[in-house]
Amino acid sequence: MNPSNSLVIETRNLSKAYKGVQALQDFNLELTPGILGLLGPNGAGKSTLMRMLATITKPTQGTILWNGVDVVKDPEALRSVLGYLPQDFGVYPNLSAREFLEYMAAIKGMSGEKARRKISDLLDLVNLHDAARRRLGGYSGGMRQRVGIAQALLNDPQLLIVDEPTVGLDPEERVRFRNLLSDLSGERIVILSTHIVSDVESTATDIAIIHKGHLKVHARPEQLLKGMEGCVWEWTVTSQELPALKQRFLVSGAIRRMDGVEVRAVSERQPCLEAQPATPNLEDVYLSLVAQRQEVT
Amino acid sequence: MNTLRILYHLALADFYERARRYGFLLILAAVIFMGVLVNNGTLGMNLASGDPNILVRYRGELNSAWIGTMTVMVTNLFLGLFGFYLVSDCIKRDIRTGVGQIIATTPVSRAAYLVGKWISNFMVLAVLVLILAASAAIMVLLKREAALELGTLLMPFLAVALPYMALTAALAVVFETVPWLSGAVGNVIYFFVWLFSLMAWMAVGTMLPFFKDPFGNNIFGTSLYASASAAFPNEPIMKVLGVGSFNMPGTQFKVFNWTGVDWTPGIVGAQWSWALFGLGLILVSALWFARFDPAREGLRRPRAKPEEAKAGEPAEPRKKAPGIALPSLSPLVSKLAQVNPFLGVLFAELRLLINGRRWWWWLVIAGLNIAILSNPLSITKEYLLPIAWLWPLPIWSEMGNREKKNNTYQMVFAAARPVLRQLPAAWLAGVLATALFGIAGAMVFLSNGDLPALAGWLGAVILIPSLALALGVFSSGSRVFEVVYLIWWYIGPFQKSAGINFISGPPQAFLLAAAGLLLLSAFWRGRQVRV
Repeated sequence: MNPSNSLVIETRNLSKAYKGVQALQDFNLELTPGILGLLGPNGAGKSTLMRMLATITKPTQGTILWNGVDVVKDPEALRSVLGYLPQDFGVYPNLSAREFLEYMAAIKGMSGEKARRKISDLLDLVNLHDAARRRLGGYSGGMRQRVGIAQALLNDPQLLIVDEPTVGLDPEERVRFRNLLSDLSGERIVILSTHIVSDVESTATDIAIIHKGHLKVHARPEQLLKGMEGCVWEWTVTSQELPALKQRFLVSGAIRRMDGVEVRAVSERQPCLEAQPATPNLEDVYLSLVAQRQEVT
Repeated sequence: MNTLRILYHLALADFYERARRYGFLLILAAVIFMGVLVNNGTLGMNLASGDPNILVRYRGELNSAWIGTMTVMVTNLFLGLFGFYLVSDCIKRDIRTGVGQIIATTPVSRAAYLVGKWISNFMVLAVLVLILAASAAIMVLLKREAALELGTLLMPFLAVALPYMALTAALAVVFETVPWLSGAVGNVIYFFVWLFSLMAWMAVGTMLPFFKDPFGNNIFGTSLYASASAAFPNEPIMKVLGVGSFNMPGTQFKVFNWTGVDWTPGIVGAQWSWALFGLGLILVSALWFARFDPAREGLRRPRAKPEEAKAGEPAEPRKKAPGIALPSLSPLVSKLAQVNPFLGVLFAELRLLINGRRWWWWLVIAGLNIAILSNPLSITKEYLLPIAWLWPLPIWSEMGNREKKNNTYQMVFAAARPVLRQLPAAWLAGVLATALFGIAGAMVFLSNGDLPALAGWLGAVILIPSLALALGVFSSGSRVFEVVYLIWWYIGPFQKSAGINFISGPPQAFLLAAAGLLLLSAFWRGRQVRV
């Protein structure tokens, strides 16, 4: 058996409150190697969850188990095998990429020679080899993001947590990063939080949708898409009809055409005779789950 | 071994990050200038006569021991204060840049992280000490009064200056780590800690059996006093060492031979134990270190208003479907701004300046004003008004740098007339707020017909925010103003030194200075906007 197959991170009744406001409540999740796409609206509790998994923030209640060890009590059990790329992170502008990575490698407890080799490999991997000796202050946003990705991978993490990792990357780099995540996922647990559903669509082996601090769904993408079969429709309307349509149906897309607006909507019943069934995608799934909940409230 | 590696890289990266800044060059230039001032005799060290009627001071021959010691004492005096403010940004920088949240996920312990920062702080200060040691060596060679003895010259640096810098570096870490000592309040507290410890050590240092003061006053003072007394046995010589600027016309300097302190392992060990004491303080302060947990870091920041979304909180349910019933977006400006655009900005700046203070802060302001109204004028001038002009320091220190600090500068500078409207509005808001904080002073001076005091009050009301704005814009931070103002406040309004006491001195000079500072602010802000 591959040792990585035994990796498991589990949250049990995880809750976090900030000054009386419940950010996360009774959150139960179990993850094994693969990529989890974490989706949810702004303020849903994604960042809180990831900060708790990354041992930065302690939960108000509940436990996080890494291979059976409670990392709330013993965070060191996880930190040496953890890679974390926060959404808003900075760098030391007066260090070069190589120096910054050497610094990060040292505080991750990596030995000198091993770290140097790994840094060279990672600089190649994120396409920064030529700029490795330039100061980070002169880097573009995308280049800094790639430095962030490299530091997250430094210690060959068994648990990789990445928050909006493709923000600021050009399309080519984005594809490159997606492929990298896919390659990595066989041996480790990757948690990918993003608003770019296409990133999740192309990489995630599991999807969790979180809303108002609760886990709404945790399933494989195929299961979610299968559940939406026959619920997504496409048809063309005039521009004038669109506002009224948006009030009646959950519109997940609208594209201007010469003959009007091609609408894509989620509905359990056929919205009108012209509407044709469409193949569901994850955006439809996400919107249907999140929007329904909002309507209930 | 691994911990040592972590410490090495933590300290080195942090040191590089600071040493490669343009600002560090300016600091180096300032330290080199300090070395020049010691060389040309502007700054120095001597022993005073015990008889205040005799204008005599005693100094050593310009040999390696005297020059090394004198440079160390000047170094300790200045770097003990300014060095603290120079290095006390290392943890805040990790919070500000976000590097901290990555560090928080690594196995590095709180103590190791803080010790790494301490070493980095120490390295920065040690570089400055090294420069001054080199300047001391150059001085010995230039003066040609005695041969250069490197060991004798460097021992005061190794045995006194460096451990004191280690202590200063440690205090900087401690002040950053303990939440309520971080920020303007901590900066003020350190100033007074530094000031009173200087005085206290002079008084009690000689009484201690083993530990001597970290500044070196007692170690050098005792030895110098012994040599001076031997050279001039019948003259009353004070045992206290004077360090600073001695531009006293008519003073006679008597020279004696001093070959330095007889260094023993005990003396050196006792001085370095101050560094260990600093290390101990750091390890204790690690208990308060939040390890970049936003849930705990948040306690350090002003409370967000209820309507503002907080990170990690659940989203409010969408009340209306998107795209429907758009709110009216006209008129684009408030009623006040319609009347006069400047007034709109002024009130907004005023709100930014005074909002967010806790009730007890206002209670102190109210208490001070009531005390001013109910006490004799002499008490007001002597104590109450100086305190009233110190208490709002955290408010003034935000002027001119709020945009950079909160990363709003791109939006603010892209708005209409950032230099000709927003900056004057910020300045006027500062003036109005300052007047409000000390309003009782104006009332009592006016009711007593004390027009010079009223003019002084007005000078202070205009000068303080002008200084705050200028230094805030110039430095893009609050510490430069805090340090400059604290020193000015202590020497001027508190010690009542003529010429710089902006509370009771003639206001013309201060008003002129305020105008100059305002123009400089506009110039610097103009450069920021163009960049």
